[in-house]
Amino acid sequence: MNKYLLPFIVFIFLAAFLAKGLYLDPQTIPSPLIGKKMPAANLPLLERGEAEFNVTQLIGQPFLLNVFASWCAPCLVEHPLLSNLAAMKVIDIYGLSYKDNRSNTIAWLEKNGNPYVSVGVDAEGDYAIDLGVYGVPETFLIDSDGVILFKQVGPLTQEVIIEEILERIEDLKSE
Amino acid sequence: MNKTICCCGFVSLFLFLTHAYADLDNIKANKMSDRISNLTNQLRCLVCQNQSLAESEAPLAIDLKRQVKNMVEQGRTDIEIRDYMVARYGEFILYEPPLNIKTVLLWWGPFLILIGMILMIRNIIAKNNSPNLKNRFSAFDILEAREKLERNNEGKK
Repeated sequence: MNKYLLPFIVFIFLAAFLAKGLYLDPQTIPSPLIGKKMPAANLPLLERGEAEFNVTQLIGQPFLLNVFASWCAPCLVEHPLLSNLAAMKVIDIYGLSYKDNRSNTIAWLEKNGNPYVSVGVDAEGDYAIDLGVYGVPETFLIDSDGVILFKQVGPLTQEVIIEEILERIEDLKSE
Repeated sequence: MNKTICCCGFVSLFLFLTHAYADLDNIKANKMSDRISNLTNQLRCLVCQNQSLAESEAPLAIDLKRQVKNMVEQGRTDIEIRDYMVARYGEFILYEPPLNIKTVLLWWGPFLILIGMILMIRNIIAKNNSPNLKNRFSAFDILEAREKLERNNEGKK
């Protein structure tokens, strides 16, 4: 009996370890930026207004930064969810137009609705590199101190909005 | 006459120097492109995760390659450039995971298992080779003998 106990325990341990591995998504990379300050940037505003899209000036109250592009198909998928969230007025949503033609972005927002308070333009994708963006759309939740609390890679889903974003906003409000 | 020679000398010296300088520039450029290809081979493309930046043509990989090139041209060291990438994309971007607390098992685990196996096999071989009493008489036999002897002893008393 004793002779078989040890291999059995090793087997159970290994099986549990591998089973966990099966359900991990290798596409999602843990971001080193979570818990860190939002990198600073001064970007042109989409609407060509006199004011610029200054990321440090956004800091003060919690907000979402959504990295999107008109050429990005999954962005269109998550867009109604963003519009819904914006209509609920629980948090400000800002957009970052990623490597996109300005007029295309404007046309896309006119067609699909504009949930953003304002949109910054990152035509070369340089600020996106500072943010560690590797798959559009990406959404960042930033607290009132400018610290990144959460990052969603790929399109938002109803579950992510409820369980990850709204949950955290509630925590922030109750603090 | 002297003047002409002097002049020619200066001109040839000048030509030689500009040529040498151009060569130096070439060497520098070669060194830089070597460094760039070396770095981009060590960094992972985050979109197509089983390719290095150097191999990948994904838009993000092209941007990151451009970033590496810019930083090399700015005179940043390899370590600075790698740190820059890790700060943004995490250690995942390095093809070769660094040795630290989190990865020590990954690096040394296989060797630990190997050592464990060698020890186990050695034990088994040693057991089988030794003319051990345990191998020739079962534990039960020995126990029985002991009981018998003890009974005998008691009988004598």
